[in-house]
Amino acid sequence: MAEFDTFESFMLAYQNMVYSLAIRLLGREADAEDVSQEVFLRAYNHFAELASSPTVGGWLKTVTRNLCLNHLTRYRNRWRFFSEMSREEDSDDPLWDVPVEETTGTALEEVDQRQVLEIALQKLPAAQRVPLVLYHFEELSYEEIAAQLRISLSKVKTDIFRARESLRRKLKLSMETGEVLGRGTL
Amino acid sequence: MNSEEEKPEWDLLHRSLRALPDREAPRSLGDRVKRAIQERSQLAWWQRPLLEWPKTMRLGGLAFGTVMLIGAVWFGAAALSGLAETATQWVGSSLNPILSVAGQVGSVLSKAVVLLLGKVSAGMWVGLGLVATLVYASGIGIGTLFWKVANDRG
Repeated sequence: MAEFDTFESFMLAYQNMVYSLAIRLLGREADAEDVSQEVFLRAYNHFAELASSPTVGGWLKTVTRNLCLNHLTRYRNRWRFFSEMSREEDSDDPLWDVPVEETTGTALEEVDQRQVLEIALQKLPAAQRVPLVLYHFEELSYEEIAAQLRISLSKVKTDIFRARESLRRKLKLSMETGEVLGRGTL
Repeated sequence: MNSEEEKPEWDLLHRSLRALPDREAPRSLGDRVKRAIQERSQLAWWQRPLLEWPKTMRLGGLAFGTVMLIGAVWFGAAALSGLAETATQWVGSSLNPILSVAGQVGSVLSKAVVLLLGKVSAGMWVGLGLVATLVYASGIGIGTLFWKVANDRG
C-alpha cells in the first residue's frame, strides 16, 4: 500500500483544486464529489506518468472540466428543466434578502465577501454559471467556450453578460469607489 | 480577460472571482477514492475495462476477435450470395406486373405534360416558377429561423 500512500499525498495536494473547479461548474456538491472521485481514479490509473509530470495540474483541470461538461451534457434536459425552475425561484429566494452582518474588521469583510460571491456563483443558473466559470477561472476565450459547449458565440456572450450582471447586482459592486461594497442587504 | 468590449467593473469582478480561494474538498472524498481503488483492484481482469487487461490477454482477445470477424464476414458473404440468388428470382416473378402498371402510368403522365405545355402560355410558366421559388425560399428562411432559435436555446 506504499504506492497508495504516495497517491494519497498527491491527492491531498490537488483535491481542493479539482473539487473547486467541479463544484463551480456543476453547482451541486454531490455531483462535484462524484466527478472529483472519477478524476482521481483516472489519475491513479496514470499515476506512474503523472507523479513526475510538471503539467499534472493542467491534466487534472482538463479531465475535471471534460468530465463536468460530459455530466452536464448527459443530464442536459433535466438540467435545463431544473435551471428554468430555479431561475424563477431565485427571484424571490429569501437567501438574497438576508442582510449581511456589519463587521468592523477588514479581514472579516473580505471573508464575508468571498462567501457571498461563492454562494452567488453557485446560485446562478447552470447555463450562465458554466460559461462564466470557463471564462473567468479557466480563462478560455468566448470562441473556445462556444466550441466546448457547442453553442453559438452570441449565446456565450449573452450568458456571460447576464451572469456578470446577476453577480454584480447581488454583490452591489461599486465602480465609483472601486471597492467591493456588498454590505447591508444584498 | 480576453474581450475588447469589457466594462471597467467586469475587471473588478474578474479580480474578485480570481481571488476566491479553492473550496475545501469534503473529507469523505479521500475515503471514497480509496474504496473505489480497492474495489477495482479486486475485480477479475476480464471484469475491468479492456485497456486495463493484461497485455497477453489483450493480444489474445484481439487475435480471437479478428478470427471471429473474418469468419463472420466469410460465412455472411456465402449466406448472402445464396440469398441474393433466391431474391433475384423472386423479384423477377413478382415485379413484372408492378413494372407494367408503372410503365402505363408514366406514359399517361408524359402525354398530360405534353398537352399542358401546349395549352399554358409562357408568361403563366414564368409566374408559376416565381411562385415556386418564393415558396421554396420562404421554406428555407423559416427552417433557418427555427434552427437558429432552437440552437440559441440549446
